[in-house]
Amino acid sequence: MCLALAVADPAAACAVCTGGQTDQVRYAFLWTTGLLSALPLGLIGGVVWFVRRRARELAEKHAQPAEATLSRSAASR
Amino acid sequence: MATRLHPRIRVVADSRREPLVQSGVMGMLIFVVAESMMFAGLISAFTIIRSGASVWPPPDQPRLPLEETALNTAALLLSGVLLYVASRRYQRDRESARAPLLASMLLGAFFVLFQGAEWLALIRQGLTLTSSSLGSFFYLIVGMHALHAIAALMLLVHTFLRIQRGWLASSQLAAAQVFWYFVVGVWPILYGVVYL
Repeated sequence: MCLALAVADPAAACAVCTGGQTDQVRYAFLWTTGLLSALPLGLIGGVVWFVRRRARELAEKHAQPAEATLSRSAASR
Repeated sequence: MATRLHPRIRVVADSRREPLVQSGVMGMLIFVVAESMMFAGLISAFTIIRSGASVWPPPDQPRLPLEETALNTAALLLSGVLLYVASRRYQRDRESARAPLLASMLLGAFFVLFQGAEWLALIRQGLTLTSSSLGSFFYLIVGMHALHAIAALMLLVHTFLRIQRGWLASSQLAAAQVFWYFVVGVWPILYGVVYL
C-alpha cells in the first residue's frame, strides 16, 4: 500500500481548484469564500434582528394599555 | 398575564395575543435565506470561471445588452417601491392599496416579458446554453431569477385577487412582500455581476 502511494503520481481531479493558479483566480477564490462564509451569518443575523425588533414593538404595544389602565386606576383612588 | 383555571392548569399567555412573527412571513423568510445562498453559490461559481478565463467575455459571443437591461432594472426597482407604497396604504385603507399593487404587478410583468424578449434576441445572435461558459452561466443565473420573479408575480396576483374579494390577511401581503423584495433586491447584484 505504502509502495503504491509512493510510486503513484499525484492526480488532480477538480478542474476548478487546480485549473487556474493566477493571482486573479486566487483573489476570486478569496472573495467568494468570504462571501459564502459571511452571507449565512449576515442572513441569520438579519432574521434575528427582525424578530428582536418585532418583539420590542409588540412589548411596547402591549405595555401601553396596561400602563394606561394602572394610571387610570391610581387616579380614581 | 396568568389566569387560574384549574389547580394544575395555568394559562401563562393570552392566546389572542399577536404572534411575534406570522407563520407565513417566517416561512417566506426561511425560503428567502435558502434561495439567497443558492444565488451566492451561483455568483461564486461564475466569478471563479470568469477570473480563470484569459479573455472575458468570450470574443466569439454576442455582448449582453447593458443599457436595455438597466432600464428593465429601473422598472423592477420601481415595482418594489410601489409594493412598499401599497403595503403602507393597506394599513390605513385597504381599497387604496389596489392601484399601487396593480402598478407594481404590471411593472413586474414588464420586467419578465422584457427579459424573455432579450433572451430570444440573444439566442438568435448565437448565445445558447452550450455555446460558451458565458451562455451557460447567463441562462442559469438569469433563468433562476426569472423563475423566482414569475413565482413571486403569481403570489402578487393571488394577493391582488384576495384584496379584490375583500378577504386578505395582512400576513399574506407581508409574505408576498418579502418574496418580491427578495426578487427586486437580488437583481441589481446579478446585473452587476453578470452584465457589467
